[in-house]
Amino acid sequence: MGSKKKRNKRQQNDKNPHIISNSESSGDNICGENSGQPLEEIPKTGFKILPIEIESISNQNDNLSANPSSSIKHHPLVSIHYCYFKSHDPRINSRDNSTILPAERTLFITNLPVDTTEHHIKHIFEECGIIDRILFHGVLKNNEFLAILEGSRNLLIPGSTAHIVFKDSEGLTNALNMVQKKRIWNIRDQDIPPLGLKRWLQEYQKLRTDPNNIGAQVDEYMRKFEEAEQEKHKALEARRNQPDEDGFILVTGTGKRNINTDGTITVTAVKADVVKNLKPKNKELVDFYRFQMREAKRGKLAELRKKFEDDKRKIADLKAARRFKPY
Amino acid sequence: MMEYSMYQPPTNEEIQGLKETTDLYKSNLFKFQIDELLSEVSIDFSKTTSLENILHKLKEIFENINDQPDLSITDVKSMLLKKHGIIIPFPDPQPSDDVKYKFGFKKPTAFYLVGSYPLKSVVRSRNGFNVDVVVIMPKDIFQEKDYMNYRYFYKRAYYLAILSATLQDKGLALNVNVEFGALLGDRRCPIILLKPLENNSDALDFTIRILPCIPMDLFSTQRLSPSRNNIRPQHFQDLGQISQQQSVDSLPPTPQYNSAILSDMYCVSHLNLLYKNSKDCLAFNDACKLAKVWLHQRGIGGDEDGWSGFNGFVWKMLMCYLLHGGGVNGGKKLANGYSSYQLIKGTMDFLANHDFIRNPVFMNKLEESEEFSEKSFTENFDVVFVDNSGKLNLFCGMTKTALEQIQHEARIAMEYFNENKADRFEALFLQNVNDIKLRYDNVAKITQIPTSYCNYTKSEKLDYHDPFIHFARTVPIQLKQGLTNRVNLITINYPQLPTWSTSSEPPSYSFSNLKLYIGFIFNPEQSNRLIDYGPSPEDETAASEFRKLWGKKAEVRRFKDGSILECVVWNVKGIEERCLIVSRIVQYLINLHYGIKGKGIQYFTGQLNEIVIPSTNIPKSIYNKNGIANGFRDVMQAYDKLVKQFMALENIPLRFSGIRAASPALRYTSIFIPQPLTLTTTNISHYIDPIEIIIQFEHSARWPDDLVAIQKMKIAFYIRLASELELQFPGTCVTVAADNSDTIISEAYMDILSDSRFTFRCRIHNEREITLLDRGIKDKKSNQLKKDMYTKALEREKRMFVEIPMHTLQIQTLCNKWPSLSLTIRLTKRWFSTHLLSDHVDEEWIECLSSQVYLEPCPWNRPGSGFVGFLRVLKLITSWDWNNEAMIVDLSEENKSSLKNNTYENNEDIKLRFKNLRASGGSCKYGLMFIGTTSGSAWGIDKPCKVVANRIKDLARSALLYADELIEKRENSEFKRLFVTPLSDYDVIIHLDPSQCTRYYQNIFVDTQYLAHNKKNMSSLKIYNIEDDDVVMRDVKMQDHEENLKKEKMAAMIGFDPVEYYLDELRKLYSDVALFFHDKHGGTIIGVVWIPTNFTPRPWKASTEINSILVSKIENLKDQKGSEHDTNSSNLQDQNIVLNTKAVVLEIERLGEGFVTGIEVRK
Repeated sequence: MGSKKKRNKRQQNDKNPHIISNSESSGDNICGENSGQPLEEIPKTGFKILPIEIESISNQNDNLSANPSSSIKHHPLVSIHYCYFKSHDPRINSRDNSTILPAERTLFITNLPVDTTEHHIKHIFEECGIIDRILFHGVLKNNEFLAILEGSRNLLIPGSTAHIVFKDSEGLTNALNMVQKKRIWNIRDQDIPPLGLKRWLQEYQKLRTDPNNIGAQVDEYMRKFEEAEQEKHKALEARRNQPDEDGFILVTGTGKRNINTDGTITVTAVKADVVKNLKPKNKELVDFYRFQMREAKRGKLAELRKKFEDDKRKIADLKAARRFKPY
Repeated sequence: MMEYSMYQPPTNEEIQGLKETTDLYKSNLFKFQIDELLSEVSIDFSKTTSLENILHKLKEIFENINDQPDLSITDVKSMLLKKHGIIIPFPDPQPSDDVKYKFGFKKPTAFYLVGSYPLKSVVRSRNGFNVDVVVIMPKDIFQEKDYMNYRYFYKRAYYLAILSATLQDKGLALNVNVEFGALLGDRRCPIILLKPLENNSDALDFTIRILPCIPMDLFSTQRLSPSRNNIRPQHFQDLGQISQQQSVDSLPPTPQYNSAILSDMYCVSHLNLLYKNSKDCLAFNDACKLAKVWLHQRGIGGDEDGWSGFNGFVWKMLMCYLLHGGGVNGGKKLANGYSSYQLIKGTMDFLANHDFIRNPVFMNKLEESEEFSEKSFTENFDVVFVDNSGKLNLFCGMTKTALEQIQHEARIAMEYFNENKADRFEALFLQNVNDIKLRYDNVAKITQIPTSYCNYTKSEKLDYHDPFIHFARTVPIQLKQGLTNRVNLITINYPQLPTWSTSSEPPSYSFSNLKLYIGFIFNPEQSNRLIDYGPSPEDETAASEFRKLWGKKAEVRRFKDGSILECVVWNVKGIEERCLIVSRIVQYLINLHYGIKGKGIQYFTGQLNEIVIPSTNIPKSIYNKNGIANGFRDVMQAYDKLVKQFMALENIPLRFSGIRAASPALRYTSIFIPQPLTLTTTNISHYIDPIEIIIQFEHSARWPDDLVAIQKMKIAFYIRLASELELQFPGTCVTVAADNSDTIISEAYMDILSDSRFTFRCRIHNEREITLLDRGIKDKKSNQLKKDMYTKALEREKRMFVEIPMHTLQIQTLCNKWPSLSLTIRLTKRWFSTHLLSDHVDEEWIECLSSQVYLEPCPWNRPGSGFVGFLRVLKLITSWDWNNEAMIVDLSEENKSSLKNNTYENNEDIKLRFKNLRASGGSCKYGLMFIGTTSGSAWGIDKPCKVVANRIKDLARSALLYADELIEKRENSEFKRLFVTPLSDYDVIIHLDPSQCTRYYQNIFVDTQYLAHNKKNMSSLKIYNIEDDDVVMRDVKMQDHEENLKKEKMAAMIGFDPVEYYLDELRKLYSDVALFFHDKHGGTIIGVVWIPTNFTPRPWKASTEINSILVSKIENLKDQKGSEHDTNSSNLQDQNIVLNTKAVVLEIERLGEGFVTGIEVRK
């Protein structure tokens, strides 16, 4: 595991405050020159602008691996990502319980990078104070057909927001008084779940874990499910034939499915709208009376004319599309 | 209002009008279209003043032309060259300088306008239109025997040269350019072409052609009968000794030469005949115009046609004939009262179905003379249609090959005329059929015409002086002998001689760098036959003929039924090679009989096959070429076997009600032919394509009434099936892939590595899910979020379990019916894929699109090779007006079988669906390239988007142009370039590490060095795997063999493609920000295009859903994209934001950690 050691070394380098030599000068300007100044603010919003320096990982890896295709020019070496934050304003989301997001020690931050984790936030804000918990809001759903959204380490949608709750109000105050300095994003930590190839391999493997294990989980689920079904059924039974306050009895079915089937052929009742569409048997005689014949003739003529007009219109359309140019 | 007018009592005229269209024309629509077309191609006779002026001036010039004294040949040559700079367009063979007769000139005796212009049946073609002027040469410049030994043609050429000299002198007044051309490509009959100079502002694009002719009684017609010889062989060695009259009868006849003189004699009489008929028959001219458009579109009768011997004039003559005869029992085929539609249809019917070979056509009854008897015509011409004089064969230039081609086109046209279910007007008249690369199944291009070969005997040389012409006439006959019923049609295509300036040497076919194209239309049932059977060797004459045809290739073999026959055997490997047998035969025969090989012949068919076969450099452990010799048969057999195993499976709670294929591999359309895993090694580092199948259990009431619970039950089933399969069929390996999250429809499946070593991905279909989803959508209690999710889920469920299996069955059927469809689809898929469009179109969509060129092949017939099929798909893309039209694909061929009305409604349903789709979601958001099938599926609903749709069209267009260039100009090795995509349009290009791409071996330009890497790299992955496995396997004790299998199963990462994961993440995160382009089949780059709206500054908000940057900040980062916006508002007051592209690029890079080697920002 030679590579890991190297990486650790690298990590130490990252923590050193010195600026990485091949970063762009423009980037330095923003983060370096003005150090000591308070963070800029977006006027009239109260949001502070938090620039974070982001370096290309291929920059970092250049010394580590001799990439076969390293001849390709790596373009953006360093860039600045901008987050915006201010203290949490409980009015915005009045339903939030103030115990979950206490106003005096909660920071609201927006435009987070998609790969933000708690570790990243902690890395940026550890100078301000101890962070109690972080609530991410724009978690990318892994599967769009999830019945219930579940939270796990996931990617965030671009420009998403989070609430950061500090242990005490001092943390919030410190955060609001943060000064301009170089802050970097790329941190190495064993605890951060990997991105990229390793992550995908994990996902692939995760789906194919021990069948016995997942089998047991399924059994467990089905047991609970059936219990719940039974409960429901019982509750339904209980309500049956019980008069309510006004003395009415609500008539309910048991919800049992029709089982008029032998496995191949199923017998069910005809549905109302199907019946409606069934054609009545034609018992009438056609063109029996003279007026019927006249009607029919008139109808035929009208149809001819209609078709004529239709065709004319079609031609007009084709002509409009310049379809008659043979060459 | 409308209703009222609909029921108004009709007037007489209206009734008649309404009735007429249905009686006289095919339908209203057809009549309207005819009217529109005629107005489009007819010329405006009110704009012809400048043309008329020129014609008047011409007449004046010719009337005042000076006579010239009789001069010797050397005198006239030098006179014209020195005085006027004109080279006399003498035909080949050139007259020698010591000819004794003199050349004289006297002013023309008459001057006529002929051809379609005076008849007012003139039609504009791509090159404008021709106005033909006949100049009658006076009798007294000719002598009685001038019909012999080219003397007439030499004198005619001199006459023409004098005319052109005069015109050149007066050219300024006429404002025209004077050139020579060859009438109908015949160098014996040069003509003058006058083209108005550029500065002529008149809108009409015309060419005046001056044709010198002679009076009808100048020569004795007896001397010019088809069986006569008028070119003495001695003529060219020993001049002046034409006295050996006694041997004339034994000399070979020169029918072509004779006809050329006769046609100069009867020119005016033909005009009179046509004029009379066009007066008698009202729709005559309109019918002629339609016919000419039809001919033009097929490349017949125009400048590009040097081969057919057919043109608008001959068509008119044919129509004249049919107005007076040609019907059943000697009646008339056409009547003067017919509409233009009826006239053209009747004539076409005759052209398509008359057996001209057995029943030669004579306009009038023949005189009883030996010279012009039926026998004399049929013996000396391939095809016979004799004019009203009874002397001239109007089909003299037509070969049997050409007749077959014309009749082939006419037969297709008759099909269109008789088609009731679709409107074929466009295919008949509006589409350009004459596109060499699209028209034929295979094309051979011959660039070196041999000047001597055994068929080109001395006597043949007399009538066919130019070997090119002779070669073009005879080569198809030779090829037909070898190809027999493998092909339905062999065609010859070459253009007419180009025009030449009066001061240059006249061109000839053999020396003018002309290319000869031979087109083949296959008989799909026979074209891939492996053996050509000959006669029994006992039949000596037949056997020696067979051996003469095939040379060394012929051999004698004993066959299974005991017969011993001469035969030719073609050895092939794999189905791709089988499609090349015809090309091998053609190249072999042409080399054997004409000595053309190497650069002299190019054959277009198999150049693209390498695109769908992985490179030969790839290690056999990854893709073994030998494994694909049987094509798709192996995988089909493996599938059948698996189905049987499923059906025989015991110990499972429910029986199977059906197993259905749902994968391209099982419908012959996967780009690569699937092959079994041959490995015994456990290290599999390359992508293994899982073959999707759907299993369905018989109905049971025991499934729960809850979607999530059903998914859990399915997982339980997978686990059970997996263990039973492995137990009951040793050698089978099953992996269940499932996660335990609570989804309403599941991603779970099981991968089966069957005992025939193919990998199947198997999913359970439960009808109950669809019912429950439907119920959830209709439930009034559901909120919109739930409804949307359910709707999406339902769509997916239906697609996966209903539509795709049905589609698979349909495509399977079509591929079995038309074998080349498979290759067409595979090439088309590869094309889309290499142009980085894998994710923007569904495979099924491509398959429908490709099938369309087989289901609706008009205006051609059904493709017979993957090569032409693929090019036709590209053509279809470029001609599809997807902005206004849905494509309706009749995959199940219902329209053909069902009743007329039914189809119509069916198609209207699709159109309605398309309309609704377009209306929803704003302007052109959905269904840009919408394909609806008659069986109710719809493809191309949410992709491609508009940008991509336009790109597809652009790419197809340039691909066709490039193909043209390849076929016309270049060496044929560069077809692969059709599959190289331009990268200039991408904003960002993400480079991936090829050694980490599991599908890299499928790359079109694979570099094997990465594959070696791949192995090493993936073995490190394997270590990773095994670490995980160990935990799993510790408890489970297994026997050695099984353990091996298990390990193999774990190592074979079926369907693992990291790029897919990556793209999935990118799409989920950045679908509003950028479009991503990638080649699924081994591509190593991802192209990114920013969506431009993200660069329009918008006000800052707390939540924007893009990674934003304040516009003011961009000022500090000058190199950022977007800095061009708003340069003057750099103060902090500006709260507008745009996309922070640079930060996004870095995010993208981080997401692809360990996989992305670099990101190139290009714009």
